[in-house]
Amino acid sequence: MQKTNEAAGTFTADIRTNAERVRAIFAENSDLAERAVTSADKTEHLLLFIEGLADKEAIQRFVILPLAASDCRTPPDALHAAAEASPISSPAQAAEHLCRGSVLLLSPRGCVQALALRTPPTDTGNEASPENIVLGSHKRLQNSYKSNVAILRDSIRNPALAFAEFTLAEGTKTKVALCYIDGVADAKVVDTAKRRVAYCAQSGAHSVSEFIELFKEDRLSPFPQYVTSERADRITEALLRGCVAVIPDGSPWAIIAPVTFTDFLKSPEDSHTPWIYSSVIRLLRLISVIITITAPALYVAVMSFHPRLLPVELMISAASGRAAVPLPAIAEVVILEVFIELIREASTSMPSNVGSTISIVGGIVIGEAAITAGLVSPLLVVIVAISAITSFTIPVYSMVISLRTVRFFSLLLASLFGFFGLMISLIFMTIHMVSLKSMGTEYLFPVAPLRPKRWMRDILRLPIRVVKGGGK
Amino acid sequence: MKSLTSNDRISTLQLCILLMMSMRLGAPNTNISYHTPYRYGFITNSVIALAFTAAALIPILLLASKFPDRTLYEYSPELLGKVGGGILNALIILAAIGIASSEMRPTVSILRSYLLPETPAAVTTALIIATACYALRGGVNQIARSGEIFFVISAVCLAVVLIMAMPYIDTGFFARHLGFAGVKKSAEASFSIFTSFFPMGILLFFTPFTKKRKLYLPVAASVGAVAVIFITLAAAVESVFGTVMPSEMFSPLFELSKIIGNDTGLMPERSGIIFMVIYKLLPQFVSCAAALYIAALGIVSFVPRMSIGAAGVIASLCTYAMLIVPESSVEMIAVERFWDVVKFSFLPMSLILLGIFAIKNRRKAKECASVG
Repeated sequence: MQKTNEAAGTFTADIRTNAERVRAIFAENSDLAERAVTSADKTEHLLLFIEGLADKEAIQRFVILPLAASDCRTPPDALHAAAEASPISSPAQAAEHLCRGSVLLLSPRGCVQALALRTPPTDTGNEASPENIVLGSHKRLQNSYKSNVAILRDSIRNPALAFAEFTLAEGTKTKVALCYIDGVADAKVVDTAKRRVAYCAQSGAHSVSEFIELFKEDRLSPFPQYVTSERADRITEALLRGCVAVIPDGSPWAIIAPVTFTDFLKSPEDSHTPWIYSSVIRLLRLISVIITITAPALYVAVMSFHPRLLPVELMISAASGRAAVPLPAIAEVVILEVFIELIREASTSMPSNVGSTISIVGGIVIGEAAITAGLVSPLLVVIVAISAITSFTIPVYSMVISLRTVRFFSLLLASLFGFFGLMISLIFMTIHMVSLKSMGTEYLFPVAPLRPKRWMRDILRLPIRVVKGGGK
Repeated sequence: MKSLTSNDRISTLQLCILLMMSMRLGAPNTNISYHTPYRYGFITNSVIALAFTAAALIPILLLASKFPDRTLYEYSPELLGKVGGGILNALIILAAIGIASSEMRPTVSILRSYLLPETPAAVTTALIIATACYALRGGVNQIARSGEIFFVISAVCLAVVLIMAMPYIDTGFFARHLGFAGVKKSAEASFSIFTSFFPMGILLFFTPFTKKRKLYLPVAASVGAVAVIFITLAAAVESVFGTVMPSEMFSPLFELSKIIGNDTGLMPERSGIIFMVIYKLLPQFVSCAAALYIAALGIVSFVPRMSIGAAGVIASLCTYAMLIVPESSVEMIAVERFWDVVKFSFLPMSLILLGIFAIKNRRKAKECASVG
């Protein structure tokens, strides 16, 4: 907001100077468009508007055409009537109106200096299909660069919201927007992000996954270091927190950075539900992560190495279930896990109505048949099913895939060394995650580095009064 | 002078956690308390031992504070000359490798006794060492941050075991063990606890990586926390097994966890043992990684072009060799005793170096005065 204050003041007689003052508030923004219009009496007027946010057709119809036809230096009455015009006295006020989708008309001294003409954008709301939620906004990004900029501008009506534009050097010549809130995002993070986007632009990367690959600090890591989202509310929340978002043209996905592991456990829905419920759900998601990684490995460890760790009744039940299975525990688990992965893959690539059929046939019919045929034990079916369900409670899909992949590592070590192998795999994963950074931010913050005071805020969701430090 | 980068920095909290983990969070083999000559003064002896530990850390902290931002490897040639410093550095590398192996040996024994009786120790050892070596890749920061996470997990496991052990704890233990049997017996008993607790060069080598210079209070608080945990654990063990049985046990704490898992009904049967494996493995793993890092730092001081990761691999291989060489349990105990003494030798070494530093400083001051 520092820039807003610096440029604040009054308009001068020169419309170019006035335009510069307004531009200064939007320093980095590439989406602020300018258009000169000459009226019939040869007076030059300037129109400023934010691309995508203001309706161009309305501008043409209600502003440019009447203005060009008028022979007076004062904007015609038609403008006032048609476009909800309101007089503007300062560049700061003008910036606010521009962020709301208005058009700024700058005319020479002697008539109205500036008019904000409201031309609301077309509704960009849409159902966010891959990131479904029950409560909250359903607005999602679109495939068009301009629409995406407009959607974010419409969500954050703050002139400090900056869009730095990059164009890919080779191939598709796609535009890429780096979005952040000036003064909220850490300057170091913004600089790093600019360097990396520029590098990506030079390297010819054009898809979101290619961008992420080039962004990653540790390229061999199976863990996602950036959140991808097409939800406007998730991106908005991240920007307000000080993150940056990279949005390539032609894709409805934004890459959010920097993020920590706990960000992958947060859903946009959390802010639309009571804080106690959200906190409990977040804890459940954390437990889900642990179950996803350890459940099948623990089964193998206990069955193959430490059956005596089970309570006697459960041990008898598990042993009787496995009596008909001729395979070792690890083979049993691998068969079922691969089977579950195949069902998941098939149901995601099929149309939704066919996908659900595949899930039913795969999950119930083949699962039941596998038990009857003596391929797997009933206890294992329960464990693998729980593990699959818990993995899908994690709101960010890239983390779901990652967890489902790394658990095979735990499974392998548990099959070789039992509980000790499982422990070693978890230690190894922890050390690996500790070494990860997302654009300079520690991945496991606030656990490592240890900041117990931030646990309540970052892992759970505190009431808004506590977070903001407000009163009643 | 080699200056440390921001990536090499650790916080005071991380240093304290590393210190507590290297003191095994107050859970060395609790049977050491029953091997002491005067058992009934156990609490008195423990308090004396831990007070000594805290006091013994003062000269180490003092020495480290004289050379901020530099490890012992960097300033030893200044104090002892190039050859003397080189010899000392080589000895420290050897000691660190030996200590790393002695940190891991109890874990390997526990694994053999309780979890994997048929798996050769050489295999489990290789796995632990390889993981510790991986932890060195990211330098001191990675070890410190891993230590933080493992500390939280260990603390939770310890809390679970202690809560489950609560019904067994005999409060009379505290009154009975506050005796004092004279200076000689108490000193002898305290010394065995002291050597078992004394952290190897954690403070000497990790203090330069912290920003804060006055570390006495946080270090004393860490030692105090370890003392409380140690005495509580010993109370629980004695309440269950009495005073004779624990001295015959390989790990009384393990036996305790097995019993409470079976008896309390709060947890699935025998689940206590899982908690104890986690609780034992993690602090010892962090201690081993820290010792390996100290050795790797030393190797890098001799071969500056070598990366810390590559030096870590060399140190790990040497540690592995040291771990699998002693075959019989008699050899193992002898080796462990030897490294305990070596660990303790960091204290006299710090005192000597501090003395040399003071003498050199005085000489310098005299020279300056005569020139002036």
